Amino acid sequence: MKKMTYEQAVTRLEEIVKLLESGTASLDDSLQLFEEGTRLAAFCSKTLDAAEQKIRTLSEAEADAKGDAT
Amino acid sequence: MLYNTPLVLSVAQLNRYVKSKMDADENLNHIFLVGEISNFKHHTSGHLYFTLKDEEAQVRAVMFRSAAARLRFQVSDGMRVLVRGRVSLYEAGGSYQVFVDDMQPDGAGALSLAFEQLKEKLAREGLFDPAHKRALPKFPHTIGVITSETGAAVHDILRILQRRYPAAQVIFAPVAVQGEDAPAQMIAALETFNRLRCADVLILGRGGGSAEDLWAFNDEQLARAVYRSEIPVISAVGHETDFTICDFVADLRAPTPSAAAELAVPDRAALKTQLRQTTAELQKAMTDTLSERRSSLALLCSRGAFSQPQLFFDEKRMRLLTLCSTFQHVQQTGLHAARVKLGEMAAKLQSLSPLAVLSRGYALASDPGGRPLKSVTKLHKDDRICVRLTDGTATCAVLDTQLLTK
Repeated sequence: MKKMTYEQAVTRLEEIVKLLESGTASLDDSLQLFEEGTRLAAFCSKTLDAAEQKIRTLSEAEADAKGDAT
Repeated sequence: MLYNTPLVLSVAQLNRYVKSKMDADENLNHIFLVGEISNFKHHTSGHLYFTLKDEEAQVRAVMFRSAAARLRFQVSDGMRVLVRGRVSLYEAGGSYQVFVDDMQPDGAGALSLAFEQLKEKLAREGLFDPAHKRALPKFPHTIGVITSETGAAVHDILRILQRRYPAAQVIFAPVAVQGEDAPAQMIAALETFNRLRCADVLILGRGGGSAEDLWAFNDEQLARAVYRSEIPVISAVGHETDFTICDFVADLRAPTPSAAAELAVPDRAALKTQLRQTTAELQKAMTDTLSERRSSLALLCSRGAFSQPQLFFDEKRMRLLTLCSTFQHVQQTGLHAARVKLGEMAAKLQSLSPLAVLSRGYALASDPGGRPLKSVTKLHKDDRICVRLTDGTATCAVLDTQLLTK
């Protein structure tokens, strides 16, 4: 899975809740959606709990960018 | 010389002469003057008349309607102002006065004037246009912080980001925030962030200080760099009461660096609450989906076919029997009708048969070729003809023919 941002995860999670609430999805889809939603909720929760704030300086970021480019 | 040949001037001549002397003096043509306003009169013509004074002296001043229309504050007695204008003589009154072109409330003197001028210029160019302001990302992944390494601002910002939303990474660009190099360093940091695209939102600012300390944030080039930035910029310069050009051009102005950090990220505690709620909704939605299906399944099962299968089959069997008997009935009645019809047809056929006519005593005459004879005109004496009676044929010779007259 491509690295998801918190915003993407929350947006998708809310979408899933709406889909499930509408009751239009098939049972198979519902189960899959529920599974995905549970995973997203866990991801969001983990993201918020990630206690370690990462701090870099701009010059480090610049050096990294150059490193990636080569 | 004046003693010897006294030159007598008119008052008008004197005033015109003094005026011409004053107008020729370049120093008097462009002056900045600080003073307190008194005797302020806003004439119906739109011109402003007042006196500028300080502790020791005073001078008359006039600001004509066209210049007065550009004023962006209310003038009143007792106000200290900085004026720009020229000095000349009002010939009719014989008093010299200041002809004011522009006037600012005197906060930081010339700096204030320059600030107002730049602000107006950039506003005219549309740099403060609300339509240009970008929305901040709701959940920034990376936050760029452009401020001094040594000031309190960076600690305030990091502390609040850590508390509210530690999930966000911080990229810190240490720069000088005051002094000659400050604008260039801040511009360079803005440009680097934009080039690398390594932040979702930028905080540009510094802690409190004197108006001079904050001056770098009034730099025109810095303002343009903020305007150009494609990453949204939150400005956070000094305290709540300090306004800089940066504040006007930024996408969002925060009253302090701490406030900028709070504006940049959502609050983790609030998000957690919301997430818990969404998770509960997810579970409820799934439970509802399942129980809905369960109850519709139960409803389906309770219907006849499933609850009493015997009845279901009995019913089917009954129907089958009915169908079979109907079929038989139809078949039988159909056969009978056909038989009756056949009888009728046979009788009809019988009645039409020429053989039936022969049995009643009629005879059928034909030529030797078997063609029926219909007229005597074709017959001659001694012709042979064939006569068919009901039980056989006789070959006969023609003796005579007579045509019946009608």
